[in-house]
Amino acid sequence: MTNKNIYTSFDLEDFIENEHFRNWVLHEDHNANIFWEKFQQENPEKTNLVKEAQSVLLSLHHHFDTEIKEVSKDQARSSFQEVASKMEKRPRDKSKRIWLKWMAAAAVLVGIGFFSKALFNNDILLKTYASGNGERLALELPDGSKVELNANSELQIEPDHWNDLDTREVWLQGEAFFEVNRKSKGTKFIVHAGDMDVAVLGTQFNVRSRGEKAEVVLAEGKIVLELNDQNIEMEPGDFVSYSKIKNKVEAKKVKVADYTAWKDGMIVLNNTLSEICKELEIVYGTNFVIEDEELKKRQIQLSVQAGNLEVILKTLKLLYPDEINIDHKENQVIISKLVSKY
Amino acid sequence: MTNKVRFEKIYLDYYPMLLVYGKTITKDIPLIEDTIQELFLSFWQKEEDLDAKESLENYLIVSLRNNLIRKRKKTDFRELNFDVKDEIGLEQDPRALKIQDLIKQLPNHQKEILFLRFYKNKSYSEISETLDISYQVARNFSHRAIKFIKKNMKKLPSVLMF
Repeated sequence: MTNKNIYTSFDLEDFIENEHFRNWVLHEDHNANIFWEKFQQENPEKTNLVKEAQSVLLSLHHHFDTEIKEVSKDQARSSFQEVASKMEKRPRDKSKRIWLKWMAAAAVLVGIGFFSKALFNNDILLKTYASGNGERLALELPDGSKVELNANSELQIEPDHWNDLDTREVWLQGEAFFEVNRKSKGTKFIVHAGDMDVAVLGTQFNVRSRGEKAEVVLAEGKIVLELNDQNIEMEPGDFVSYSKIKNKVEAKKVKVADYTAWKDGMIVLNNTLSEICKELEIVYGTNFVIEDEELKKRQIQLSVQAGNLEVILKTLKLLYPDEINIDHKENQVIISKLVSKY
Repeated sequence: MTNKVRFEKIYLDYYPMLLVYGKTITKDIPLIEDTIQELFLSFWQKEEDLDAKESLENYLIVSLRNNLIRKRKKTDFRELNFDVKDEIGLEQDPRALKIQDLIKQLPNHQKEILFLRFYKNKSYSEISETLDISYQVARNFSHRAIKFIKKNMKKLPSVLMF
């Protein structure tokens, strides 16, 4: 049981990478079971972490397991039927020549293997651009397209897939404004944003993929959204939001500037206080608590310069000097109703 | 030499797993379907003794992958069709359900590593060989995926509750 000491310093990733831990979670190994129950009893402060790691590991396993089980026996059988019918038509090749051909192919593959290994070793397979709290980043992609990344967002590309003929692909978590260059060869540009794929040739638009919802606002040109089985063609000024979990598509006309104001360092607040606080939470990575139900629903309209959170909070306070109290301590902002003195 | 009955059995056993694995490489399901069929047909034609393969599963995974990567390039824009998958059993822990939604949001190459590492229980050196990438890159992909899940699961209301 000397290993126990090591485990107390484990983080979530260490746990799920640990074979002993995996055996317990995935294979319900009896000895491991005794060990990990005991570990949790003796280290109660680790119980949450163990449960989280368990949850992540089970989810990973379950995710693929469910997908595999969803492939029905009938589907497999009908696929094999197609193979079987072709098997009749393609007699087995008895000649030795085919082996020579395959040996040549294998030699070429080995060559490709060496080449790609050399490339991959430079770690350029995937490039990540990330912005932190309250930070905005202006990027230029290999094709010259421009991207502005809003706070707490991440954009990934595969740099070796940006040749002239390749479909240009980016993966977005968070919010970004794209100015996509049109390519003469007409290759597409795809933004993978959560459950939504945005396909374009060349245009300007804003994509936001935070949590379960993905939203797109089109500023210029034309784009096609591909959602499950429906395609939505967007015109400038169109806003589309999509939630796969709720299977809900919302489309409306909006003022594009409201959705792209963040680019110019503006935060346009035109919502309930509780929605606004959610937005500020995302941008500044600060936790917001509103201690009054009525305040949460309060509709607020205001444009403020992004930057210092303190300034924004002061502006908010100025709106309702006699009604609200804002308490900002480190990573927490508490908004409460000012108790009347009378 | 593998006879037809045995050949069919192998096909039916591995088809679902290969289809799901293929989806981490391309979203073009008809292409994956074609490629699996072609793969087995070529085994059949070449009279490959599948039973004699030391690790048949690994052999199938690597062959499917190489073929898909080669064909995927040619098919240009077919990447767009994305998998229609939703509903998960209700008997499940709601927390697990949310984490699964996060997994679905990951880029494909990260999903692929997660599949091999946490579903197929392969080591990073095996994975780096299968995918022909360095050990460190394999680890990085996995690390990034776990980091994404970890970061976002903290935001899930149900996780904050305990």
